[in-house]
Amino acid sequence: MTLGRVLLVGGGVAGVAAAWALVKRGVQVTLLEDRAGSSEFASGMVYGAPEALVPVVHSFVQQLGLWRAWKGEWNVTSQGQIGRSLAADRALLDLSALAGKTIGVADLGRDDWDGELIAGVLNEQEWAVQTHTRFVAVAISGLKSNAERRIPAADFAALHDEPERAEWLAARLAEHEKGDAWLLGPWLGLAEDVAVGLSSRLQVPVGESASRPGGAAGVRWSQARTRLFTQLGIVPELGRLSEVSVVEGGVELSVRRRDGQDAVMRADAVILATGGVAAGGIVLTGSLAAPSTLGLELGYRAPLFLELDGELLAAPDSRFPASFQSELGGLERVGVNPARFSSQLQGRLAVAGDMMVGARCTIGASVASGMLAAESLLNGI
Amino acid sequence: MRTQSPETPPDTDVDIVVIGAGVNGAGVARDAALRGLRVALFERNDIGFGASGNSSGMIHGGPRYLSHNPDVTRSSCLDSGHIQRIAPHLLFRIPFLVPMYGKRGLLSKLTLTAYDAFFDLYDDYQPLKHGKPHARLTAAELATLEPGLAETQGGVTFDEWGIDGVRLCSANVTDAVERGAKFFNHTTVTEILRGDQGRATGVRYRNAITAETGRISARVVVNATGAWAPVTAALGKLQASSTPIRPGKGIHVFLDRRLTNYAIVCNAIDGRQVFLMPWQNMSVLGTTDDDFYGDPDDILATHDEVRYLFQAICRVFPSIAQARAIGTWGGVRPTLHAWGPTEDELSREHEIVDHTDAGAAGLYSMIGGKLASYRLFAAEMVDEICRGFGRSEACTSHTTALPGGSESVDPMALVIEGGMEAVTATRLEYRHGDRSRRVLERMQRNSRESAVVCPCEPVTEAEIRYVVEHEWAVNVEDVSRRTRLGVGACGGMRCALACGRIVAQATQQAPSVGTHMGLTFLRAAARRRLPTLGPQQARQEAFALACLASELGHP
Repeated sequence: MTLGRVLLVGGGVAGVAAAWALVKRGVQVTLLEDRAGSSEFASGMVYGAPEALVPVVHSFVQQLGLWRAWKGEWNVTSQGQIGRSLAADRALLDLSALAGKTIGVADLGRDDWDGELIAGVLNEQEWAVQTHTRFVAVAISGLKSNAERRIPAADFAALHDEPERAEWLAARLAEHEKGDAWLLGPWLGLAEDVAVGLSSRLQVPVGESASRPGGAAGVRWSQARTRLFTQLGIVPELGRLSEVSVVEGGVELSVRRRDGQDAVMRADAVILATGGVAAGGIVLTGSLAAPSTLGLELGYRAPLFLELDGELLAAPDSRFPASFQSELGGLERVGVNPARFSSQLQGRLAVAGDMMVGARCTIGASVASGMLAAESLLNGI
Repeated sequence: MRTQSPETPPDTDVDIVVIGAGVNGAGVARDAALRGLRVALFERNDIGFGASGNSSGMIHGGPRYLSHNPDVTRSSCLDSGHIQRIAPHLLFRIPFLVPMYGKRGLLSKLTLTAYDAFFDLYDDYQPLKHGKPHARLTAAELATLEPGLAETQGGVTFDEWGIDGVRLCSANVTDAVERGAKFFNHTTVTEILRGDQGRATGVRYRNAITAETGRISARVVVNATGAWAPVTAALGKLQASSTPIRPGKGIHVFLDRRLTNYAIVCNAIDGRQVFLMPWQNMSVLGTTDDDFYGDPDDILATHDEVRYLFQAICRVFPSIAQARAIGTWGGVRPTLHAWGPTEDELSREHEIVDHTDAGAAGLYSMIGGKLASYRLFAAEMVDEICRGFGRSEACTSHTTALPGGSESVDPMALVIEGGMEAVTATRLEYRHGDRSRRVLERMQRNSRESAVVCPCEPVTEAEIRYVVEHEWAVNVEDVSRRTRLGVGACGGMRCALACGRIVAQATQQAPSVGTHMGLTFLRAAARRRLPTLGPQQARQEAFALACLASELGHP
């Protein structure tokens, strides 16, 4: 028996990595997705993949073409913290090569980016102190109207996709004494490599901080995904999985499509890459009463816990005394635990996503888990 | 009448030390300063930290006291009128609906007629507070006014005024200081000093942030610490029973946006009245009233309290179940002590305890009271002190405008002059009245200060710096209390860290201190929000917290 068709549920970064790994090995893929998940809120910094898996993900990263090589670098977060990533959106400023230099923090006068305060935060960071790197705020007249102070960061970034506008920004930056690099907020284009263009135009590295949720980096991910789907010949189906059953020679999946129609899909195997929190987190509850038919019910109300800054806050109870604290027993991470179910699913169901590996909002862990899920199916049959 | 004993040295540092900058303490400080007395005001946490900043946010006329204590209703209504005169910018009208439920028939008709008659009585007091008379409405009229209501048998309306309690406290403190009072925020009184024959002679204090200590001498010490009154009395070596209060916890849930046109009153499962009201730019669901035995420094709403309120309001306004709850607040009423009655039946009157009989002349405790009658309570307190000092200045706190209340400012003028957005200007004008011009001037001097830091409320950088420089805010929570920064739907995720950086810079502290302040705020806000989260919101909360961790660079 060969793996002919796999149904992938979830079009986030884990699902896309799995899809790529499967298509590369000649497997047909049907991708089902409901709506945007946490991958669309990417910051542009990629981390969380175990070191051992770096070679595995490397090929996917190259194919996607969104991130710089998987070598590890230092970036600036949206709150002016310096953090280490495995890879980063090409628009982000890579501090690794700038140790000991003076970096201009461009303050365009936007409400979400006070250059002076951000530079102050950066100069205090351990990395900056240890490497004697200095951040200096520079006021730049980079806005063309008062409204541009407050429009969403991604909208402001989109303005710089216009070559004339990018050139205008370059000219504004060039009016100031040249530091060793320029750091800006996440505003350097959505479709175009504006940061790369500015860097070569100004002869110094020009780059962004990481994006806040809903910023430019998430939009760039979405566009890179669409390009990859085109290359792979994948057209996502819109809808939501409602039931998984094992049938002779494969799995059968009940799907409620976005248009309201119910459909049944058959495949040799299924990968659940539904993400965790933002996507709604599927919980599988096995039907213990009738193990022979293995009807798995899917609920979209997973229990979860909240923590902040590494500290467990409390179990979120609900003001609605529903089955929120589900039978899975109180506090668990959102996600699926296939180990709870019958061995009949062995080789037919795999799960991917950052929540599965216990690392939240870490694109790298998601990529790795997606590729591992594909591998496990390919090797299992 | 007590008179000052000739032995008392008049050369004390101040005439009065007031402990507690809730509305009563701030009110006493202001009233005393208005009468030319020298005042020092101490606050352990922050202005309006306790019940004053966590009340229902109403200067109501007290219809609930009408049947058994009409004097309280009368004085509440009268004082509501006074507060409107001295701080017109801080009040906003809240019309209430009392819908009738139950089977159509004679009983519900009689009940409605009884309500009608009751509010007829209340109407007599409405002119005192510039309120409108009540109206009796048919079921069809109610459905038109408030389409979200479950099917009713008609109802009645009545009229009340809303207020931001912290703004009221802050205005009183500001006025006191501008009239010469000294204010020590975040400063704990560690001891009430007692001199000859046990007389209170002043206090020792310690700043909770800088740990600086000191002492100040006074002729009179006033304990205006609300739920903390017994703790404070103990600092003067008095028994807790010397300040007989029965603390009652009350919580509110607030929800994103104004969900109703009117405030709605309904009965909870135990027959108590609870309400859902549009308040500032959100909706407030309240309130509970339960005996409280915990730590008044750390009041958190619990899941069962939240459910109790939702259970009640769901019956009359069902779509509330789909609404987004964005937080809770809780406070402890310093209700006058009585053994036996249920919490709701306890008197909301106030009382001045003169501790002379306990051997502590010159020490007073203010117990009981409510937001609406603070000014009256403060005036009574200062009257008594003045009698003791042999002074006869009359109270002017009801005729002298509070800061911001001297003249009306058109928010649209702020829009035109300052380039602010209309909603920014309206909210700024609400909080600061004519002093919003001072915030505007900051923006005009330095355009970067017109940056909108908290888009939900909204709050500008200029206002943050203004409350740090002029209203004794030292951290993000203080700023939030004064400006409502971070109180909106995002819970401060978008603004708390930025606000922390601004506060740190304005107070000459390192940026990392600002980040820490922002995180402290977010952690406290998340704790207060947790009891209200439904399953989907809990999911968003988890996601937002994960994003925050990554923004801080340690996923």
